[in-house]
Order: sequence, then structure tokens, then C-alpha cells
Amino acid sequence: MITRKLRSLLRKRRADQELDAELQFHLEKQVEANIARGMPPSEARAAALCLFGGVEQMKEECRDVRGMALLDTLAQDIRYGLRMMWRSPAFTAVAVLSLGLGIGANTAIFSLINVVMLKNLPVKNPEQLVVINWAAKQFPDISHNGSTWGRPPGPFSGSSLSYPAFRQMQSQNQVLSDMFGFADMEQTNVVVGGHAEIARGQLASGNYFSGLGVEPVAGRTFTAEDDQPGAAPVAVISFRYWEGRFGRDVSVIGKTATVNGVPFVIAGVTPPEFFGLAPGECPDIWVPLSMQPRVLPQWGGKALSLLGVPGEWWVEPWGRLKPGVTPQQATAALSLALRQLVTAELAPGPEQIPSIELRAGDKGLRDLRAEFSRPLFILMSVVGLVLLIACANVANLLLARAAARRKETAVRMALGAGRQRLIRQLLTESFLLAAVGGALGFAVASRGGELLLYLASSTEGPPVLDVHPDARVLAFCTAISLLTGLVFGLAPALRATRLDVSPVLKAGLGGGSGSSRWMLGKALVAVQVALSLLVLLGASMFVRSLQKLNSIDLGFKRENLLLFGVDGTLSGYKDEGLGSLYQRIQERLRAIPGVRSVSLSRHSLVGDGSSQSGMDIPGYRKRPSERLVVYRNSVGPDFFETMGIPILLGRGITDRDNQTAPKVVVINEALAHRYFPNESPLGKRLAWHEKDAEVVGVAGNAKYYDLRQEVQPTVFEPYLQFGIGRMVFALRTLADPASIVRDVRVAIASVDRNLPLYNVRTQVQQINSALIQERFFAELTSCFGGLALLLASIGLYGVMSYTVAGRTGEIGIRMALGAAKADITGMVLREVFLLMTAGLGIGLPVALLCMRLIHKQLYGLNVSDPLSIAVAIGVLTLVTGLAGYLPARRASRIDPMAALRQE
Amino acid sequence: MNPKADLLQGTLDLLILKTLALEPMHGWGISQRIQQMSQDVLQVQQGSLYPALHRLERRDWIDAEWGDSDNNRKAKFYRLTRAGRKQLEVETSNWVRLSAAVRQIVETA
Repeated sequence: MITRKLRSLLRKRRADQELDAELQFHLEKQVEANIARGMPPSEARAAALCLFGGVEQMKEECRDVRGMALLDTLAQDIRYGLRMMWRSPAFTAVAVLSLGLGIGANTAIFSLINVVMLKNLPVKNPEQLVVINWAAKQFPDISHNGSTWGRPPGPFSGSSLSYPAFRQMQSQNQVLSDMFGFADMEQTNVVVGGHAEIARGQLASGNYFSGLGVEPVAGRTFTAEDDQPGAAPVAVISFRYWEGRFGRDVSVIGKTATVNGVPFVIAGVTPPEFFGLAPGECPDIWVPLSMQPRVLPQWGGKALSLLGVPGEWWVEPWGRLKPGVTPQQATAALSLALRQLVTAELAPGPEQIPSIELRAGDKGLRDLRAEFSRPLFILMSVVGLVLLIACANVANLLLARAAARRKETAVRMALGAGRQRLIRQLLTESFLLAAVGGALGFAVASRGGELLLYLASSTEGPPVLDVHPDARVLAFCTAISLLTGLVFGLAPALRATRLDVSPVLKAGLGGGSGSSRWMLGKALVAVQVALSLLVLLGASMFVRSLQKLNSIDLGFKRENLLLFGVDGTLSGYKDEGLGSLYQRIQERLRAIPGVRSVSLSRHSLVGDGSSQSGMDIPGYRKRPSERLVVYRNSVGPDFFETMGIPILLGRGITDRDNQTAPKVVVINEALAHRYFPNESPLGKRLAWHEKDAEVVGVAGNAKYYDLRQEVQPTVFEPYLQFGIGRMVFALRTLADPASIVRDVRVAIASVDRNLPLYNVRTQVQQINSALIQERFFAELTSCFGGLALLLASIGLYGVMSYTVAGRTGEIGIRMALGAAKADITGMVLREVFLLMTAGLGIGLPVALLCMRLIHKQLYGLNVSDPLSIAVAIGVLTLVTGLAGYLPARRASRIDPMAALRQE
Repeated sequence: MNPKADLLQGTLDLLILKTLALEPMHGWGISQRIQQMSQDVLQVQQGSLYPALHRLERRDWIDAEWGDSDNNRKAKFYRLTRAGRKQLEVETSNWVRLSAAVRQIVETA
């Protein structure tokens, strides 16, 4: 390497020497010829030189022609550029830092886009994978677990099949080389070595891993035999779970893990890059699909095996297309099979017959993508703007430096350096800056990706995504670094080399003519101000929107509430036993010092799901085709007291409302208002699913499912009377709820040590978690807004400083003629405000137009929210004003005598 | 000064190749020879001559070698290569065609 470099260097030196000798020879010949023509020797030499023209220029041309010149000059340029960077560390630091932050922010957001939207699943030939969904004009008479969605008035769709249908299609289809399926188990109780913990479980068919082509890193994955009824129970765990719970201990293979009370032998571990099929949600443990009756005996409140029931649809099927089979052919074949199965077993109406819809499976399930594609696009635009501002900054710095180097440039041009050559040199310097900035940006992004995930985390922790930069992210980072190098480097390079040599050389110091040179710099600053306004306005809108969401009247008290889930069904409790378990837990929790009251409910409030069902109110006269649908929640004693919801009429739910007592419900104000407008609802009856209950109380309106939604008619029923499953406990505490978590764990363990509590959080955390996207936006855009502001301020400060420095003489004269300090400050500040006004003038209309694009992301705000606009303009004016004031003050302190002497 | 004519783009290469077809020569010699043969109509500027020589050398149409010139001074001698000879034929026939065409236009119009 070094010898090669040396040799090329030597070769180059020799070539240059030869050229010199050759030209020398020519010159001497010319002199001889002149003498021969009768000129005196001294004159002969001068004439020959004159005839010769620009020697250096010709040499340069010869070097260019030699071709290797390009590489040589590149090396030369880079060396020179590095020297320049080294020699002005402040300049380099500001430029590299601006670029590093700008490029880093872009790369970090891009790495999220990459992992959420672009990356393929890390499995064998992902392009062959298809997600098997179905659609029907009318929803069939089935119970469906999985994602369903209806697009009124369009068809209803579903993502799962019944177990018998899945098995039949799996064994009989001719279009898929593999058809495999899975079902989410949500919270799963996994006991290993006497220690109970909640994990994310999934049921998977025996060919799930082999069909995907996922090879184990330890042990083995499932075989078809594992998924036969009566097979020995084996489980597969994910790499993350292996690492987190077992410290990558290989001896865990063959050990027993008790899943929801059933012992499984751990057979193997999936590879680290495999995160399941839905980006963001990595299962911890997989068990065979046919184990459903044992590990999930109470699916959706029903205690039964779903394996033989054609009306229970819960297996989510995927497939791998056979080579040569088109998706259309597969769709037709699978639709036919499904139609035959459904017609034979469910006797559907003609509108209820489903047909198959295949979706590409190469990038996994799309829920996360659908949710985040728009936010990520908006964030990408924001960081793009920040990068533009950074570019403008560096361009400005380069312009300023080019001004300082005018003399150098002029000398080089006078000596025969071509303009192209100089532009190349300056661009090389820009690219060097961009490269260093890009490297810094890549480092920022490598850490930043995880920070972003952390910001996006819910109460269950950050989404499980692998945001480590891959080749695509690296390519993106390189590309935008090069692009920024060109963007900020080109204009200054062109400008610096477009100069008339002789006046510059004559003008001694090379300072000289002022105003026009700064027009470009000032224009850049105005653009920076405009772009910053855009980012700041976005940020203030998102912050205001979040504030509005946070100040929504919830109807209950969010402070000092601790929430956590307990699911006794996973530890084998059922019916009466389950009820008394929860009652005992409630008793123990009440005894903890610092706890004011304790309750429990099926869903906690805001961001924990909801139940809904149809209902009848005897005596209520329905409008034609009106269907009464109400929200429901099963709650325990003291629910309203604990949550801080007022009882307006009658009473709340108490300990006495148990299985043996008459069935009662409490309704909320919204329900009372809508269905009992002119009478007291107390003593009225509500009926659903052959049950009916008496209304004993009316509670105040409180937010239930969604923060933004108006409070809907809701029925609260005693959990002991209306079916029990997993419950969320709520503790109203005197002090910080986090301080009693230990006591809570001890209390629960004293009831049953195999009973894990999961998802421990405060009510405030849960609400924040429901506002995760809004918070994410508000935090990130505020960060980026601050960054934009900082960069723009540096830009303005730099330009004004140079302007002031360039006008030292003029200011000196003004002061000598009697201008006061205030006059000088005012003069400079006027210019600052002119720049700012120009920037705001361009920025505001553009910003307002852009806000229309994000109005869907805003809550309760007009796109031209005056307060947001005022805040954005105010902050921008204040900070950039300060940045402009510093040079103004410096101008006012110029010593007129010194200034004049300098001139 | 002598009456001069601007060299048409690309003709300098042809002239250099033609000059070198007779014998190897150094840069000064080439410029003198072209001037003589054109009876002082064409004068090659050094500023174009040397870049052109380096260009032709790079294309392997000519070789260069350091040799002794008169009174023992070292000079760089250029020599036509085989490829250069071929190129000379191509460029000559091009030139003949071009000049014939130009003449036809100039004389008839």
C-alpha cells in the first residue's frame, strides 16, 4: 500500500521533471533561433519567453492530459482539504456538527422507516410468502379472533380461519408449498424454576418454522409430529427471551417451562434476527397449535376446545406460493376450498360466503406500518428541513471562508490554475466536510434509533424492533452525505472562482467590495429563518395538541392510581374459585399502608381496550332499524370510589353484589341521558343475552376506551355476576403509587406465589401510553425545532458578524462623524430584522400551507391556530434577534480611531 | 509577423502524426517542421503543442524517448507507433474527404 503510493508519487515527480526538461529544451532552442536571427541574447530570451505564454498553465494542461492527473489531483485535493479543515478547527467543528446532527437525524428516522416499512422478514425467500385473509359482503355467523375490519358499506374481512378449515386447506391445497398458521395468546404465564412471569405467547402449527425457513440457533424447532394431538408438549423460545430470561444458557434446552399450568419441554431457540411476523411484537414463546385446549382452556371466556368447532375462527393462516403459481390462481383455488368448507358446515347466507384475499407477506403483518407510515413520513420531512437548514449554514460558512480566501484564489488563478480545477478543489473540501459529518451522523443514528424506540415505548416497554443500521441505512446515509456536500458546496465554489483576478490582487488585503457579495449569504439566512419557522410551527402545533389532549376532562382522577393485570385463569382458577381469588387479593391489597382504596375491572380506563354489546331496554321505543349498542365494563366493589367517578344517583357496586345477589348494574350519565331522558333510571331494567339486571345507580361520565371520543352510553356490571376472566386491579394511593409496587407483589405472592402480575403501570403512564404517537411527535418535533433554531441562529450570527467585520471602516467613519453607539447598534439590528422579516414573510404562508398536511395528526386545533403561530414567531424572533444582537453590540464597540487606521 | 492561420480543431493531431511519419523528432523540431512545410502559414503555439503531444502519447499513437540532440543536449524524441500509423491513415483520408468537400462548396457557391 505504502510502496504503491510512494511509487506513484515518484512517477509523478519524474513526469513533472521530464516535462520541465522538455520545455526547457524548447525554450533554449527558441532562444538560439532568435539569436540566429540577429537578436541580442538578452532580448532573445525575453522574446522566447513571451512567445511561450503561460508555462504553468501549459504544464497543468499536460498533467490533465496525462490522465492519471485526475487521481493525483484528487489525492492532492484531499490532502489540501484536510489541511484546511485542520487549520480552522472552529469552522470545521461548526460545519461538521451541523451536518452530523442533520444527517444523523435523517438517518435515524430513515432507519425506523427501513425497519417498519422496507425491510423484508428475515426468512427464506420472503417474496413467496402470502398472508391469507378473507372477505365477505356480510359477516358470517362465526366468532372471530384475530384482526377483523369492515369498511362500510364494503365487505367484511377477517384474518383467521377455524381449526378444521385450516387443517383441511393445509392438507388439500395444490397451490401452496407450505401453509402454516398461528394464533396470539396475549399474556401467557410462564413458570420456570418456580418463578412465574408473564410472557408473550403464540400458538404455532408444526410447520410454522420450517415453512418460514427459520433455522434454530440452539436445539430444534417444531416438527409436524409435535403438533399431533397427544404428542409430548414442546415449546420454542425466541432469542430475545432466551437472552433476557435465561442469559443465553444453552442448558435451558430440555428444561421444563410451565405454560399456563401445562409443563412444556423447551426444544429450541429461534435466531436473533427473527422477531415473528408482526414488526414490533416479538413473541417470547411458541407452543404447538394443537395444544390450545390445554394452554388456553378459556378462550374469550368460553371454556372449551376450539379444535373441532367450525364456528370458532382463530387460526391466522400464511402460505408460501408454489413456484409457478400466480397469486390469482392461488386465490381462486383457496377461495373454492373455503367456500365448500363454509357451505358444508355453517349454512351461510349467500352474502356471508367468504372468498380468499391474498396479501404479500414479505414484509410481515402490516399493522405497525399502517399506523406509522404517515407519522414517519411527516418526521422524515421535518428532519429533511433541518438538514436543509444545516446545509444553508455550511454554505454560508463556506461563502465567508471563500471571501477570506479571495486573495489565495486570485493568486492561484493568476498562476494558471483552471477554474474547473479550483471548483474541483473546493468541492473536494465540501465533500470532505460532508463525509466527516456523515460519519458523525451515522454514529448519532446508531444510538438515535434506540432512543427513538425508547421514546415510542408503551407501558409494556419499547416496540421490539431491530433498528441496528443495515446496508440500506448505510447507503442512505452515504447518499445524503454526498448530496448535502453537493448542495452546500456547489454555489460557494462557483461563486468563489468567478472573480476578476487583477482588482483582487491590487486591493491589497483582499477584503474589498461589500454588499453584493453578502446577498447570497443573506438570502440563505432568510431561507433558514423561513424553514425554521416551518419546523417550529409544526412543533408548537404538536405540543399544543398534546396539551389539549392532556387537559381533557377525563371524568375521573388520574393521579395516584396504580394499575396492574392479574389473570387467575392462566394458573388454573375458574368460576367460583376465580372470584374468591380476586376477592382475597382485594382484601390483602386494602391492608397495604398508604392504599386508600382498591378495585378491579375488566378494562382499566383509557387505552386498555373496551367491551361492547347489543342491549335491550324494555319500554324504550326504538326508532325503526335502531340497534342499541352500549359499552360495557365488568367492575369490582369500590370501582367508582377508587377511580374518583362521582355517583349522581343511587349507589355504586359493593361487596354485596356477588353471584348469589340479584343482578344489578350502574349506568353512566350518557346512557341515562339518551335512553331515560325524562325519568329516573333507578329501578329500570336492562337486558342482553337472556340476562337482565336492575339499574341501581347512575355514575358521572368518564372517558373509557378512547381519550378523544365523546363519552358513550356505558353499563358497569359487577364482575362476580357477569363472567370473570383476567382483571386489572386499580389502587388509589396516598403518595407516589410507584413506591408501593414491592408491597403489592408481596401481597399477591402471599395469596398464590404462582400468580404473576403483569403490565404494572400508573394511570398517568397508561394515558401517556395511549398518547404515544402525539407525545412522540411533540417531543421529536420540539427537538428538531430547537435544532433548526440553533442552526439558523448560528447562520444569522455568522453572516452579521462578517458584515460587521467587513464594514469596520465605514462604522469607524460614522462614529468619527458623531454617530452614537445606539445608532450603530440600531443600524445593524435594522438589517437583522429586515432579514428576519423577509424570512418570516416567505416562511409563514408556506408553513400555513404545510400545516394542512398534518391537520389529521392534531387534536382540537385549527390549522391556523393563532397561539401556535404566535409562539413559533415569538420564539424565532427572540432567539434569532439575540443572535443578531451580539454582532450589533460588537459593531457599537468599534474604536473609531483603530478602524480608521486600519483603513 | 508571418501570416497565420488558425488550426482547425483536430488538425494539429494530424499534422503531428504526419510530421513524425518521416522520422522521430522532438517538440521543437515538430513545430519548426510544420512551420517550414506550410511555408510559414501554420505556426504551432507551444501552449497547444505539448498538451497535444502528451495526449497522443497517452493514446499510444506516439512513443517518447530521451535521446541526444545536437551538441549533446538531452531532448525528448517522439516516434510514431504502429497504432499511430494506422491513425494517420484514418485521419489523412478523413482530411482529404473533408477538404475536398469544403473546396467543392467554396468553389461552386
